[in-house]
Amino acid sequence: MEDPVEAPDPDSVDDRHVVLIVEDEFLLRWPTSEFLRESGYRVIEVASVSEAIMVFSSNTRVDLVFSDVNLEGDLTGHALASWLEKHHPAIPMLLTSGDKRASNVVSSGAARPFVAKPYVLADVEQRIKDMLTRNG
Amino acid sequence: MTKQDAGKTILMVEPDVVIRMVVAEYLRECGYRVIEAVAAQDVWIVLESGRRVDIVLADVKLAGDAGGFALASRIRQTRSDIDVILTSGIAGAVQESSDLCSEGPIKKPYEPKDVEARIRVLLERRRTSNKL
Repeated sequence: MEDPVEAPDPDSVDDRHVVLIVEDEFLLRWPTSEFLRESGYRVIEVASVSEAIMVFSSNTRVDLVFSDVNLEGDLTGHALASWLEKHHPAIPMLLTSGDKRASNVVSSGAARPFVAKPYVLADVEQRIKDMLTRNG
Repeated sequence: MTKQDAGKTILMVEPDVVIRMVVAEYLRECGYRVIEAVAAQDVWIVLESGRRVDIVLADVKLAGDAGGFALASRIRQTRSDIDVILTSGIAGAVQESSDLCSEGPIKKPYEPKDVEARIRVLLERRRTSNKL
């Protein structure tokens, strides 16, 4: 067997931005995550709000949250927006939905940026890049 | 990972987000491509898409109709080109999985490097058998 290459260095500095994607539809989460990784982001994938909160509870660095509004289970993307507002107010959040009514709720409520489904992956990446640039 | 394994695709099916996040990222840093799935049905979406997958890394306890054992059994029957590694936190899983994986499941809690070592062995074995 060929000698293995070195294992990753746990102390190495990773300067990629970390995007937490919250999407219960695997057929959307998979290509979106791959596109963002190929664009240079580190991506954490979760399928529900409770999983997203578990990621934050594990003290994992997150620079931006990209979340669907209509998720399986009791908690919606709006609930996650409220939770973030309370616990991590500095972390920007981009919401998405195929439901236009969801867009109205967001704009009148939490005032989170919104991208409608179906979305173009390059457009989402550009929005994320702009939000992270603004956030410093 | 060996240099010739760079870019091999691991399809990881793990319902526990913290394990999935840590192990998938470790494997990516090793140089593998990793597709993250939460449920057994996600695996078939990937396989039916025509995307090349070299190894499926699955927890024995998955939600839905097919747990990890059923998933491994079906992959073994229909996709002989794909190896399966099962992981388990359940006592007794070793016995049950002996027919599905030649070396039994990796018991949780496990170190990501242990999974990577098993991946390396399977890829090397596959390479060797392809040469015969």
